[in-house]
Amino acid sequence: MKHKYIRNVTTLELKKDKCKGCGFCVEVCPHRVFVMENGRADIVDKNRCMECGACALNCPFEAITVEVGVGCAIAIINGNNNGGKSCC
Amino acid sequence: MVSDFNMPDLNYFNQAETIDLKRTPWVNGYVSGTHGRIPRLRTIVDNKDKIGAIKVHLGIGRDNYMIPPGLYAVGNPNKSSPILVTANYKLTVDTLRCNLLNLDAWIIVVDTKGINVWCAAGKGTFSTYEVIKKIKELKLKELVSHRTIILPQLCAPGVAAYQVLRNSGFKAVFGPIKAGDIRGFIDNGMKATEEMRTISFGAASRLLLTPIEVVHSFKVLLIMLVSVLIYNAVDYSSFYQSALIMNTLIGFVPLAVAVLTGCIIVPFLLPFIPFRAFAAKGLLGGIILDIVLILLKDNIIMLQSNLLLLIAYCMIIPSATTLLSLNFTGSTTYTSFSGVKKETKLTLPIVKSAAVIGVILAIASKLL
Repeated sequence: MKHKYIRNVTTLELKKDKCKGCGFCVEVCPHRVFVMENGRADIVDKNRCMECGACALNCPFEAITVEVGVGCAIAIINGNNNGGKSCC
Repeated sequence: MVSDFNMPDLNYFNQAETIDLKRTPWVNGYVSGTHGRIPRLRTIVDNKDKIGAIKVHLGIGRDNYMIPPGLYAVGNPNKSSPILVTANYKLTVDTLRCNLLNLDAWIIVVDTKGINVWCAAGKGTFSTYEVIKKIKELKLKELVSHRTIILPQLCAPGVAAYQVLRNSGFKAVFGPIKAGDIRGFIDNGMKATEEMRTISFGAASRLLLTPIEVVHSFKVLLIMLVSVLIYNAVDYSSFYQSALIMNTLIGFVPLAVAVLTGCIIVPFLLPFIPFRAFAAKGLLGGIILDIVLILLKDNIIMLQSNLLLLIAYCMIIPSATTLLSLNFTGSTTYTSFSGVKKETKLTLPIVKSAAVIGVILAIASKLL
């Protein structure tokens, strides 16, 4: 059964005009958020994104931005307690 | 950024050489050649490895379960053998090597401070810099005639493949997510299928992660048990000691069930429980437990004709299940930072308030 998490929250953005179609984002995404279409990357389902940041880091053209963070409640609670930086 | 990775040629250094064969049954002798002696990893895991795996799943020695980073071999690799890169968490290395039976390959173990590939990539220890550094200090250009390394796909949050190529001359290919797919990946001409590239989180994986949740909750369970004991002992006068113990244990059961629901049942049934938010899944579990408790209250001596205490239990139980379910977000493979942030900020004040009100009501029920 497929896992589904909270919708419409991800910070993932793809600037299609910057994309040169190298395909790294398609390759690295563990949730298959990207596909190649007509030689450029496109987002299939944004809500599957877990904001791991693999696509953005591996994009040589800075076409992808995402606010990277660990999806872990304890890290977020600890981060709140010690001044914003989330860490386990 | 680029200049950060542009390091000079480094002197040959292989920390793996320093291992003591007598103390490393997972190494099966050495491969010798241009690079001196290189430890050869066994491709089977023995009982000691299995016990080690059980221990780390129970949280025993988990922070120090690692092997020396550096260059290793499996089988009898030569200049054209593939190079696989992995983390130095012992459990990760065990999983990798037992999937490489009858394969000849070089293994580069990156120093991730004993953390698995994905978490280390997220924390920045499995990084572009570390991979380039290993390529240089292990003199890979002299070790092999080809110019390709295979990275685990899940290191991608920390490793930029194009930067590795630019700064080391080695093409970094992302291999499959699971070590079990490596052979298929290599046989398929280093092409991964969609399935190999997709992360799963099946019932078995979820169940495997629950023991550590329970271990981490021991302190909470102990506090609950002691609180119930104190509650029963305060006006302990005419009771027999056995009655005190009995009442305490029976009064503890609903709380223990709440903790175990948050630690085991919710994680196990995860995709089958309605709602997307983990807090909501936990709350639903807590409400169901509350209903069961109300139906069974006459069997719990503490709760018989003690409405205030019953309400206290009904506040504390969902607080525990909600918080523990929310906590499980850190163990999953699919929860986003933004999503967890949203539900944590929304839920935490409510959970805290409910728990505090529960405790106040419990104390009040004793005083009134």
